[in-house]
Amino acid sequence: MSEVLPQPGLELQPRSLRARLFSAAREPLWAALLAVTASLTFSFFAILATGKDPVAGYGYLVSGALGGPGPIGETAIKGAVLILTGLSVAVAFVVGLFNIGAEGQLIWGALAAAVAGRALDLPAFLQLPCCVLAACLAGGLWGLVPALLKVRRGVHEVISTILLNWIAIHLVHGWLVAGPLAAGSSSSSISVAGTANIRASAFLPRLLTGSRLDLGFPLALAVAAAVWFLLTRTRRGFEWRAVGSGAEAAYASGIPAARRICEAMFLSGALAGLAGGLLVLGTEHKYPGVFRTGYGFDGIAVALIGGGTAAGTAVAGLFFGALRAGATRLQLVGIHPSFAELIQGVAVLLVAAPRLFAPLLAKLRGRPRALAPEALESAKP
Amino acid sequence: MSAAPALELRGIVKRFAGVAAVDGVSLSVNPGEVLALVGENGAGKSTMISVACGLYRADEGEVRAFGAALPPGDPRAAIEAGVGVVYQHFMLVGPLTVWENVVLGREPLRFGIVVDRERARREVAEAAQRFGLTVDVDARIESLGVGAQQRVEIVKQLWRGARVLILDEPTAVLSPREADELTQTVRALAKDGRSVVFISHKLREVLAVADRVAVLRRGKLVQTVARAQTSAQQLAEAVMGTVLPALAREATAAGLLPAQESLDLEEAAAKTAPGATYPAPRLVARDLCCEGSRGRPALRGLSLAIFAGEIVGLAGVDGNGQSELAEVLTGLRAFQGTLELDGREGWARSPGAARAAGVVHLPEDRHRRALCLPLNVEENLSLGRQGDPPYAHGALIDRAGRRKKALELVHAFDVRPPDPLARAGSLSGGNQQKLVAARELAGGAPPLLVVAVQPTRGLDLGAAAKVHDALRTARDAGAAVIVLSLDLDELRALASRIVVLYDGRVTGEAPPTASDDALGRLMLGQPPAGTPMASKPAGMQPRAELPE
Amino acid sequence: MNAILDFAPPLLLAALGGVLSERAGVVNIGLEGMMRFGAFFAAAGSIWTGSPLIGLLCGALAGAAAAGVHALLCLRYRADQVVSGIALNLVALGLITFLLEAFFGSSGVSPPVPALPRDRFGHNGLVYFSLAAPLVLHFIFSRTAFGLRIRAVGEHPHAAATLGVRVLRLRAICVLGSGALAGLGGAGLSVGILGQFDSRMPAGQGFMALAAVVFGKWTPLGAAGAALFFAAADALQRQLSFSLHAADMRLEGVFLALPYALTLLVLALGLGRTRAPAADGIPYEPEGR
Repeated sequence: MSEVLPQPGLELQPRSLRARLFSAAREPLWAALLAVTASLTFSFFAILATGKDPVAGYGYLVSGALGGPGPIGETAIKGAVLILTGLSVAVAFVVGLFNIGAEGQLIWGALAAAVAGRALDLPAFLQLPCCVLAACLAGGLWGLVPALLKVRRGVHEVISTILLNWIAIHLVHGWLVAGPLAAGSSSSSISVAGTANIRASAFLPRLLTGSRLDLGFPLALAVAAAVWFLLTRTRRGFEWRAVGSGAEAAYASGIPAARRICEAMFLSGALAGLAGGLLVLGTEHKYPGVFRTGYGFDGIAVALIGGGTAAGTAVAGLFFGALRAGATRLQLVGIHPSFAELIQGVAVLLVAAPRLFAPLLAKLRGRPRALAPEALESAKP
Repeated sequence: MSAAPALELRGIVKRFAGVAAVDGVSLSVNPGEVLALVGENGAGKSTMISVACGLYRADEGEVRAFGAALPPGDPRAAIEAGVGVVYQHFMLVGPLTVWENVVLGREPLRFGIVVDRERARREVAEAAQRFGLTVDVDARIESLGVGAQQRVEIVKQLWRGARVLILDEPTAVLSPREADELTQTVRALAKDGRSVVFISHKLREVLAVADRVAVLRRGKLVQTVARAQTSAQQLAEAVMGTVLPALAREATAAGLLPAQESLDLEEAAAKTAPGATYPAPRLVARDLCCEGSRGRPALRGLSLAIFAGEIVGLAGVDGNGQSELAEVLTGLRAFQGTLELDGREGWARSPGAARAAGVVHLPEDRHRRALCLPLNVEENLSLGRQGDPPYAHGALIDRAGRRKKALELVHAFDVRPPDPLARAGSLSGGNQQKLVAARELAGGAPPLLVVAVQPTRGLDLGAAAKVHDALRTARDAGAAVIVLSLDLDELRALASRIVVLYDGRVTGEAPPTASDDALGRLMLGQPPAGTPMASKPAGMQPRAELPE
Repeated sequence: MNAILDFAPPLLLAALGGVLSERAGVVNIGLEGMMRFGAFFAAAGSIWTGSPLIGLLCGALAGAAAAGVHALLCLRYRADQVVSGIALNLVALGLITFLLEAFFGSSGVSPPVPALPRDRFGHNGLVYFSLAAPLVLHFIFSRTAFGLRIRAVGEHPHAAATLGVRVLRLRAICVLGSGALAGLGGAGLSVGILGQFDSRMPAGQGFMALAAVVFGKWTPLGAAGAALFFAAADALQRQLSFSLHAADMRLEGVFLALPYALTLLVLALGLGRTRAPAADGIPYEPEGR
């Protein structure tokens, strides 16, 4: 902790292991672990209550997520998308905005990737990057709209992003993909077809045989690392955090707060757009006529469980990706895959109320004040 | 007077997170009596009120109204017992009408559920009339000025049958005429047999209205005296205590010294700092105009010159343009007119530009304007200079450099706990302000201009002394320092001259040795007269702008 | 016109629920989830008891129960109201599908539900109830002591508290009422319109209700008007889509997006006095310092 020791007497007070383990900074971590554990327990008994076999169910959940290259690939694909939508929400949190709109941004990103993947005909080494960029750009622009509405017109982003989600869903699914961009002959009335397939040069390369694991997974992890670096190590990231934790103070200190909000929301949208791009370029290879993702909404859960940090979001994204992948096998014991949503939802409900776990954590923490008497000075609620 | 007191607080203790805001205070007020409760900010006045009216539950002690103990933490019971509070920040619901606000929570009903509008409106109008308070019962609260809103608050309590009325800093927001009217209203209430607890930190206005005066200091009751047996000077000593003899002595001395006004800027500067020469002013403001937050003119042609190496105090009754001037100087507010820093213009167009030009700011509201409370101490220390060494290396944060600088600053300014990783929000108010002072005054290159607004409000004496020292150090290093404060004694202790604002302009200036009366006249917008006007107390200066 | 009246009740009731909760100062993003609870338990209740009216009651109670979780987390544990609402939506999505499978052995639709009695115009009672409800809520807000207190609590809870109004209790009542209305709205989808529960319900109607609350400026009559307007746009789209299909123009999406786009436009242009209650979404701390 004390990596700099400028002169004797100026170093930080060392803290005991217990105090560090349960310090206030780690509270989100413990809350998330407790919430997920409680949620898994609750779901276990929910299965039991319906007369099905929870042990077998949870076994399938694990094997469906981790049992062999196929399941691991599914976990990685879903995890990558959830990591990106989770990061999208987390980055918006950093500047103090609650981006409910990752779903809409994801949809535009997916559509842009599908259109670019078909319309562009570039050399192979350019085709894929251009499609990825198109997805980021489309999502980013859709994410910029609520930011501009917020800083220019004072429209609360929760309301505007919800509205923008549904505008995106209806415009893309009910009009663009069904009409102007639909594949096939124009006389056909089949609407489930979706857009035409993208060119093979735009496919995300698969990394393992016997699995759909593609380049999207390492890409998502790299993006997570980059976001972590941006937020914690760069001046711009610090300015975003300053804006998010006190916009007026940041502005008074010379940071152009409105601009920083727009920048962060563009990145937020771009991350969600990239998530949509991965779905299209990696697995779907077109914008499907029926595209029920929910990944954008799940991104909110991922970011919340992940405590809003890049690392936490990556871990939470992987966990929920595994859950989603494993849940497809729950059908073997007669449980619908949307059971994953239940586990996720209960966990978020519990994380939503930090005060639920506060007494327990305070007990675990013991009496840190005795370890650091000067902390008494700072005692304030 | 022989019966039980109208309101009695016995041995009240109220702690927040272990820190006692009120520590064993007992008070009582009799029917027909006006009790003034005085003390500095943070002395525990507001906490006492909240305990008295049941909003807070006292940790120790009890509240009695007309002889009966009130259940703790039950606002309803306090209202039933006839205890009513008019808060400093009015407790009125903006979009609702006057009568709706008055009857809220105790609505006269028809059929058990429907509000009887006619009866409510009639009763509210009657209650207002009885004490000569004019209000339009059908007006929306948000369309009323502050004076009218305060009348609504009083009517609200009277309609509810309040027999004990607690007024929290009632004159802070009023125009002189409204303040006079309020004094009359309070006396009329007392004549009617009601009790009034009048909270203020303006000693002379307290002496004009109260029968008895109770003094709180740092959560403890210092004294309770009848008005006839005290004086403003004696109260001032009681309020400030003897802990800070220098400050108290200066204040007392200032009151005793004859007025020595000077409107000549250069002369005043030369007089107060003999031997010093000033080549050219550091800051020159000419005909500054700007709008206030409600769109009304706040500065109306203000002109001012400040020199390097001096501390200038800016005095004035709250709301005469001080806050807006501070915002203009720090780039937070748009303005018209000329503003030069070392002869250059255009530096105050944005907070970033002002900072780059060498202006630093200790703002009035440090939570809102100076600190990002969720961020830690070292991050807050780098705020505003996050792109410069030693805090950054190009686009990257220099974590080692920042840590080193933060440890230096934290120790130099005695910020507690001395932990660069502590959240700023977990620090006490005094330590937060030390943090802000450390960053602004010592965090980077020496500043050219320091704008400090109410720099020690709400601080304990140790922290206040630390902040004052830092301001003096900045001055000695060659900065021009402007201190805006409502506390004349603070200005006297710091500044070499005091410039007085009234109605968005400078009405004059005086040396720090000037009497309250002399400064008071300037704060009223009156030209300095030859004879001191002993009858106009300095504490009761009016607000320049009449609320609409 | 008939189509509007038939399809309006769910949206209308949910929008009123949103108004009730938000005017008391509690943001309710969970309307969608509460509608889903209502829709499912209304269908289940009807099937088990054979009475669609009892089904409606079950739906309202289920919505209120879901809202109870929201109220508990937001008011007792000071949870972020937006987060709690989102979590509720997620739980509703997973739990209801799970229960659908557990009770009826299908992940798609429930068995058919006994129909609500209809009058000679072909409307069921829910239609009339949903038309009367905005007027009743308007009356409550504007004329009753209860309504006056709700408005005060949503704007300035501390002011109300100093006058002895029990802020948290009042907010809890409003959130529960909001859930009951949304649940009844959901019941209108399953028991009232479709005659069975579909696992996709309420398909965004809760969010559209939220838009109606904003479009209607947080007033009962405004929100009801907006809900009727949105329902009309929906009905128009259904009508038009047949003829447009024939001409091979797939424009449903444009019509469906219209209510949201209009609401966004109203917000962006600041038309009229579109202001949320001042204390909307801000947890109330009794000893706030």
